[in-house]
Amino acid sequence: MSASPRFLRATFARDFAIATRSGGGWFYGLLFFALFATLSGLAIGPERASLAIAAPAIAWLATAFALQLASADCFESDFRDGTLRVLAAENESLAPYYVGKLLSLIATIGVPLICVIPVVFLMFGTPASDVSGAAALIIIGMPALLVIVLFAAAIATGLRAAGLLASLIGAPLAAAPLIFGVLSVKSLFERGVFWSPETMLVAALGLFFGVLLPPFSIAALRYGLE
Amino acid sequence: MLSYFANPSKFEAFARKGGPIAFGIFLICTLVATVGGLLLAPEDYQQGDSARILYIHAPTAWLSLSAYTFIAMMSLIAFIWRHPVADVTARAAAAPGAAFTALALLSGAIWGAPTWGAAWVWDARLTSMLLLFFIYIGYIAVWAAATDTARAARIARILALVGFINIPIVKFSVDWWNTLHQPASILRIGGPTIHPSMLWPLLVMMVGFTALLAWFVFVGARADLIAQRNQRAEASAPSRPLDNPTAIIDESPA
Repeated sequence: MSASPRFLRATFARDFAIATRSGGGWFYGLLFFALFATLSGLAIGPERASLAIAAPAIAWLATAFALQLASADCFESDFRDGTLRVLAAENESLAPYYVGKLLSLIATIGVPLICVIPVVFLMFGTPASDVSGAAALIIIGMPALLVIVLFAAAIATGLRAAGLLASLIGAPLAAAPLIFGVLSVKSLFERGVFWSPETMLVAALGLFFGVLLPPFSIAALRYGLE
Repeated sequence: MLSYFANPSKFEAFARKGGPIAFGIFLICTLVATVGGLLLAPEDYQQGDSARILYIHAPTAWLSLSAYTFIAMMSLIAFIWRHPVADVTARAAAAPGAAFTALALLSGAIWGAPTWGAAWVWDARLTSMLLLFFIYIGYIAVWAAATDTARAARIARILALVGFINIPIVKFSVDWWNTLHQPASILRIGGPTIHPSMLWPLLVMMVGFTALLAWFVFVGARADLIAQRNQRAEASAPSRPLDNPTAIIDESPA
């Protein structure tokens, strides 16, 4: 299986190149994140107290939606032009392909989001001392969100209205990390505890989904081809 | 049994017999339980007659969970053994399951409005139930969105299995979290805490509603199998001389 690391590297390099080249649109998800946060801020109004209450929820929701949107058509073009079929026929496992996609998603949307999340917290009136902690809490929740959105994308691949269907499938699964994620940020703001039980639960959900969902996603990709 | 029902025509024969039986059980049980629940059982000492919605609320909630469990089990069977009928029965249980979930939420809201003072609270039991409804919709949508039924079946299996993680959360949410919704009073360690005079109509109603689900699955699966057979017959039939008018005239009644 010496081909696996090469397969992984090739998938990552290709996807990263496609996303970051001119017109690749890697920043659309990021822009959506910014717009969602802005519109939420406008909808809530300029009152600092209500903004501060809403900040954890808005940041988490914007992150989840941005990841969902950025990944929704992740496997779609490979399925449509037959790349996925060739890759599945040539390789014993699609796991390296999946990991390559995951890494390219982290590089093109995960890392940019992490850079922008602190700005959103600042705009919503979070004290500067809490901002880095709050952003770190969202980073802890990102693995769970990433494997959930990739699972939804894998299920929806090749179906009609795949992008919208993927959000319909992913959203119920994302509820648990969202609930505990928002609670973990709240406990940081209100009690100053970073490693609260909620944080532990978010990390545990990341591990749980990280073990459960990748095999199911890979199976969905492969069985969808038969 | 698993391999016996792998033959669609054997399953169809079974469903043709089982359907009316299930429907009969449903009619008898709901009739008996309605009389028992509305007339014979005493009214609740705190909630009065409003507690009688229990006889709809609990069975629908119970079925929303068991229909999904059934879907997940059938999906597992289809996933492992590539069982041709398992997918069909799983699909047939999805729409009734979603309807039962909606009914459980609705009857809960009708019950909650006077007793809790709120039709909806963001409580773990209610929220996980609502998520179950969305999971049902997603499952149905995957079946509907695929252009090719065999492919839809393969993908829907995987989705059903992953969605199953929500079922224990719904069931145990009232034990794990301190919720406004009451904890389990029937299926619990230490036996039921509900008085026998109120319990028996409830159990009979649950049997009746389970028979209703069985009837839905029998009818839905049969319809699906017949549709599949017609589709296959159409695809494999040699081109008939439809543009030959005498062929039609010969067959039409005089």
